Amino acid sequence: MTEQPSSLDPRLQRIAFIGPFGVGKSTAIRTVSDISVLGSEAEISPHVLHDDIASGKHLTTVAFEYGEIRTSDEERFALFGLPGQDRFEHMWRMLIPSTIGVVLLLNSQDSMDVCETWLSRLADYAPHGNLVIGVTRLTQVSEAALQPYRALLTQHGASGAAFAIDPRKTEEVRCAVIALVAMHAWRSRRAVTAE
Amino acid sequence: MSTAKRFAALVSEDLEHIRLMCRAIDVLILCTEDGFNVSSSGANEVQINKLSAVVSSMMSLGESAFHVLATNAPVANIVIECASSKIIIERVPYRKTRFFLMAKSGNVPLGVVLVALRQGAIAIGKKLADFNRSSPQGEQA
Repeated sequence: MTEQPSSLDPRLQRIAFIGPFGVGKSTAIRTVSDISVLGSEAEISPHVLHDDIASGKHLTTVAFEYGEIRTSDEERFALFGLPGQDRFEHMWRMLIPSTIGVVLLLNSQDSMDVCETWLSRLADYAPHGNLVIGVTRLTQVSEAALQPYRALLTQHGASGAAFAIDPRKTEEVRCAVIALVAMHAWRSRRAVTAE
Repeated sequence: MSTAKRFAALVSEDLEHIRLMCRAIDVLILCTEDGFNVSSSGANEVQINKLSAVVSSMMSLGESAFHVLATNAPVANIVIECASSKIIIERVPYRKTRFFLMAKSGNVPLGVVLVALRQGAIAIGKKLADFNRSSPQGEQA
């Protein structure tokens, strides 16, 4: 099947999906993208060659995944799924500053230190401050379960949102993207009003 | 000695041999497809680790470019040139696991570096196969 050119607008705005290794970034992009996703997955090399965590995964993203999503008749966005390991920091530095916002996926089974680390990193790479935290693998979705993430966002002076997300569910990932787009639109309008 | 260290020691002489074949090469890095360093020559530890990850991203992006153009084959090499230097990344011909060999050279003809790097990659691929045959089960690279 030949795909139509995705956009005539060269300024197709970008959204990044980021978070720890194995959290579901690639799955989320594949779940929500309107086009077939361009991947950059490499086979995880034999564990005897390095000390990476044994995760049971066979593939890992080494550059970025690219997908696109249409959120309304007028709006479509490029989705970039970035690698989670520190050694691919060059990809974060290259792509995150060019985005309008970031969906940070975090595993609810990880400690809040992981969230803290990622929020600190994003303060450097994402000066726009548009951030949605998607918490995965929550056994019971409740406000209480999301509260620690919201508290950390406030501590970091970020005005983002935190949702429970199953990266396999289109509506849940889509909801995070739409929240991010709304946040970006609101901030842009506020900036114009302030001028 | 761990398998990783044994393997690194095994290929280090191949890296030095490549540098002897082409003295304009001042940095050589052998890394895995997922961005881990295996062995290197001429670079410090920070450079080695960063470059190993960058090399895996670049080879993957090269493959993505071909994929977009409906050409699905493994990328054999990537060449980057600036005014005074070249970086060439060559895939090691080995079927089991993908390894990449990166060389940075001074300003010499591209073919000189490519030939040295390709011959080195072939030698490393053969060594990998031998290493794999002689390794105990479960330790294979």
